[in-house]
Amino acid sequence: MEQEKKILVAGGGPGGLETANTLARMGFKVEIVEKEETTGGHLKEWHQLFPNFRDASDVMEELRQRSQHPNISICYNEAILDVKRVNGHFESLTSKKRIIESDAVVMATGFDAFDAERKEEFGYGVYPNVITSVELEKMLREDGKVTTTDGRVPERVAIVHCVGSRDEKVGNFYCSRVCCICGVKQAIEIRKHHPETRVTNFYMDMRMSGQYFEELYRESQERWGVYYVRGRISEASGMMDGKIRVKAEDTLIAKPVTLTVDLLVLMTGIEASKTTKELSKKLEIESDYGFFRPRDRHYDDQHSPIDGIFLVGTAKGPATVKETLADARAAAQRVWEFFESKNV
Amino acid sequence: MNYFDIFVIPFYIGTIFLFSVLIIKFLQWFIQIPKSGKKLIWKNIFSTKTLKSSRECFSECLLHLRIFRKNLRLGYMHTSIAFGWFMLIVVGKFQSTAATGEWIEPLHLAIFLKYFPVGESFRYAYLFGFLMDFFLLLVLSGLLVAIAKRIRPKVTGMKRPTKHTAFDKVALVSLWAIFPLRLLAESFTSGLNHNGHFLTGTLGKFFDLFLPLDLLQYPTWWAYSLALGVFFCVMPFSRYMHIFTEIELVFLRNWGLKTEDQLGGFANFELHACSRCGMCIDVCQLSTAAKINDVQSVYFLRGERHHTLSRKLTNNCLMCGRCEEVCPVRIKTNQHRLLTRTSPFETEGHRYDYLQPPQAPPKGEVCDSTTEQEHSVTTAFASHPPFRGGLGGLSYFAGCMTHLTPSIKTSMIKIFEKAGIPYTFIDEQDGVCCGRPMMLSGAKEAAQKMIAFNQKVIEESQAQLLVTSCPICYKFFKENYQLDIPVMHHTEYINMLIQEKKIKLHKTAEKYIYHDPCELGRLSGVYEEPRTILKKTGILVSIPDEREDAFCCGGSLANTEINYAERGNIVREAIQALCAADPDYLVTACPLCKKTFNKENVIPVKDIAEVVAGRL
Repeated sequence: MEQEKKILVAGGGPGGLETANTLARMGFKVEIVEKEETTGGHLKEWHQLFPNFRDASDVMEELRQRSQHPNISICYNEAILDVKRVNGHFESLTSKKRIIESDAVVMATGFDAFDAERKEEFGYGVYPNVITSVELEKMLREDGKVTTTDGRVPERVAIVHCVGSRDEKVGNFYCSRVCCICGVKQAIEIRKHHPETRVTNFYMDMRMSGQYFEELYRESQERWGVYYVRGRISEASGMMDGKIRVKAEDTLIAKPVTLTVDLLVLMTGIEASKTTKELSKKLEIESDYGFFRPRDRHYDDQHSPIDGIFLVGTAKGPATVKETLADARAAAQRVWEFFESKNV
Repeated sequence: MNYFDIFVIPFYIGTIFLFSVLIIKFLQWFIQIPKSGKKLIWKNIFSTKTLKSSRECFSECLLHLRIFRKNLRLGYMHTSIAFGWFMLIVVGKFQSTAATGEWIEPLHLAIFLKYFPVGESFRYAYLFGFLMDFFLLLVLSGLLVAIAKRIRPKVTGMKRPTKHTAFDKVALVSLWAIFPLRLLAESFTSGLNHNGHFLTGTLGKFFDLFLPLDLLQYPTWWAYSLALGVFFCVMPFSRYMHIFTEIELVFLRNWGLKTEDQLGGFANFELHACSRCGMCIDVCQLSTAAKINDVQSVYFLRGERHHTLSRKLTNNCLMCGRCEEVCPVRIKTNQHRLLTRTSPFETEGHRYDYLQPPQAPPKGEVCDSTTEQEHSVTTAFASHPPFRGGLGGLSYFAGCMTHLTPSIKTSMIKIFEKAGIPYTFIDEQDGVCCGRPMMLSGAKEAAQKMIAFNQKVIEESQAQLLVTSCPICYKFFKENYQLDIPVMHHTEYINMLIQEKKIKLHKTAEKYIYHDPCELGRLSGVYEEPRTILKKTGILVSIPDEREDAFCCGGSLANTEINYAERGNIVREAIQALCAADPDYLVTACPLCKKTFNKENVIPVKDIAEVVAGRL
C-alpha cells in the first residue's frame, strides 16, 4: 500500500526507530530527526540487556538495518524545537532553523539519566571513584574490565539503588522501574568479570516485576554471591586512599551500618529528557515531572491530547527496551488508524 | 459637694475585678519562677537595669517605637491609642485634683469628671480642657485606623491581620465602644452646660441644635461606664492582658530572666504579653510562600495560653526566627515551641544502642552467617575509630549535613592544610549527629544521648578549639554542650586565619549574594565574618532582605509538618528574592542551605569554604 502522508519522528532512539520502521512498512513517508550524530539513543551506550544478557548491539543492529528503508530518511545532529499546527498539518522548527512539514508528529524524545551531582551526599563529581550506572556500563562495553580511577580492579563495589527515583528530596516521587533489575544485571556482570570483587547492593525495595527478573535476582544471590542490604545510603565520604566509605541504615535490623568500598556505583534514574521537557511544556501536553501526557492512559496511550501528535516510549515515563519497542509498534498502528478515520 | 452617681458602679465592678485578677495571676506566675530566677531579680532590681526598663516601658509600651520603625501607620495606631489613653488618665487625674483641691479623692472622679458639677473656675481649667480633648481626639484617630485595619488590612500595610476568637472580638468591640461613648457623653454634658473645649464643646453645641440632650446625657454616661466595666472584666482573659503584662515582661527581661528549660513562670509573662498584633504573620514564609496562615507565632502563643495546642501548631514552624525579629514585644517564641514539642518516636526499643559502649566486640554481621565474612558491612560505631593526626589542638567537626555536601568538607581540609594548621578530624568516620535535629523535633532524650556521645569524643580529642562547618551544630555546641573551649563556625575561623595572615585570598570579579543561614545569623548573631571574607574574594552585593531580615532557605529541620510541595514553594520564594540582583554565585555558610538551594537547580550555590578554597 502506498500513502501520500508524511510523518515526522522526533528522536532516533529505539522507540523512534521502531515507530519509523513500522510506519515505513505501512507505506508512510517518515523523516527521523535525531539530535546526535547516530541513532540508537541510550541503547547504543549499553553493553548487555537484562534479563538474558543479550548484547545491546544486536538489538541496535536489527533496528538500524530495518531502518534502511526507501520510505525513511534520517537527519542527524538536529533537534526539534517547536511544533505548530497549521491548517491540519504540522510545521516543525529544528535547531538548524529548518521547517519540516508533516501530516503527523511522533514524539520519541526519550529520557535523560538523572544528574547524580544533584545528590551531593553520594559524592559524585567530588570523589573520582563514585560513578553512575551509565559509566559502569561503558566500562563493561569497552573491555569488560571494571576498574577504579587508578586502574585497579576493585575489591569491593557498592551499588546504590534509587538515585534520583522515589526521592522526595529531589522532587522525583516516581519509580524509574528499570534500575533495580539493571543493578542486579550489572552486579552479576562485575562478578563474572572479576570473581574476586565483592558486590553489595543498597536498596529500598527490589522491584522485580518483569518477566524473569525475579529469577535473575535470585540467581545473583545464589550463583553469583551478590549481597543486598535493605537501606538507602545516607552519605558517602572519600578516604585518603581513594576508597569510599558509605553509611547507611540496615532497615532489616534497624542499625546504622558502614562499608568501605573501592567503587561506588549510583543507579541513576530516568528523567524526562531536556527535549521532552521543553516540547511537552511548549505544546501544553505535559504531565508530571515534564513527561508527555497521553490522551488516555489505558486505551489511547500513544496519542497525545493534540490530534496528530503521537507519543512513544520513555517520553511518557520510565520504560524498558522491550516495552518501548512494543509501544512503538502500537503508536504506528495508532497513526494509521488516525488517517483511516479521516478518510472515512 | 456630692461627686457620686449610681452609673459609676459598673466601672467600679470592672476595675476591682480587673485588678484582683491581675494581682492573683501575677503572683501565681512570680511564684512559679525558679529560685535562680528570683536570685537574678534581687541581684538586678537595684541596678541601672531597672532604670533602663522604665525607659523601655515608656518607649515601647506607650510609644511603640519598634512598631513605628517597621510600619509607620501601624505604629501610629498603637501609639495613639496607648499613649492617648494613658495621657487621658494622667491628665484626668491632675484635672480632678485641680478641680476638687484634693489629692485623694474617689477613683471615678478622674474618669467621669465632666458629669459632675465641678465648675470651670479651678486653676488651669482651660489648659486641662484643651489637653483632655486633644488626647481624646488622638485616641479616636487611632481607633479609626484600627477599624480601617479590620476592614482593609492594606491600609496599615498589613497583608493579613490576626484572625481573632469570638471572645477577643467582644473585647475588641467593648474597647472600641469606650472612646466614642466618652466623646458623646462629654459632648452632651458640654452642650447642656454650654462649656467644653474645641472637640466636646463644638460637638455639644452642634448636638444641642437637634438632639434632646437632657434626655440623652444620663444614659450615655451609663453606657460609657458599662463599656469600661465590660472591657475591664474581659481584659484579663483576652489579648488585652498584654497591656499590663508587657510592663512586667520588660522589667523581668532586663533583670536577666528568660525562658530556658521550662514553661510557666517567666514564660507566662511572655505568653500574656502577646497583643496578637499579627506582625509575625506577614513575615512568616509559611504564610507568604506556602499559604499556611494558621500556625504563626500569634496563633501558637494563643494556643499555648489557652491550652489548645495541637501538633500542627507546635510543629509546623521552620524556627527561622523571623517572627521573633519583628515581634514588638520581642517574645522568644522558638523556645516555647521547643518546650511544647514532643516526639512521636521518642524511645523506641534499642534504637540508640549503638551509642553505648559495646558489651561484645563492636563488629556485627548483617549478611547470612554462612557467607564469607568480608562481604559483610559493619554495624555500629559505639566507640569512634582512632583519630587521624595529632590531638590537643584544633578539632574539626564537619557535621552530618557537611558529610552530605562533601565539597565543603574537602574545602575545609584544603584550607587547614594551606594554612599549615594541624587538625583532628573528629567525625571523619562514623560521626554522630550533634543532636539538635532531634531536639528540634522534640526527641529530647535521644538528643541527650547524642550530646553525651559527642561530648566524650570532643574531650578525647583533647581539643583546645572546636571548629564546625554546620551552623546547626555550632549553635548546639555553644548552647547545649558543656564545653569549656571556644567553638567557632568555619566562617569565624577562616576570618581569623585571614586576619592572622595565615592564608591569603585572591580577589576576582565574581559577583556574590550572601545568604544568611538562620542558625548562624538570626539565631547565633554571626553576620560580619562571612561578609568580610567575601569582600576579599569578589564583589558582594547587598540585598534588602539580609542579616536579621534574611529569608529561611526552606530546608529547616525544625518543621516536620509541611509537605515537599509547600517546602518547595518556600525555597523558590527565597531563591527568587536572593537572585533578584543576578549574582554569579549564591554563597551561604550552611550545608543545609546549600543542599536546599541546589536542589532547585536555579543558580550555582557555594559554601563560603568552597569560595575560599578556590581563591587560595
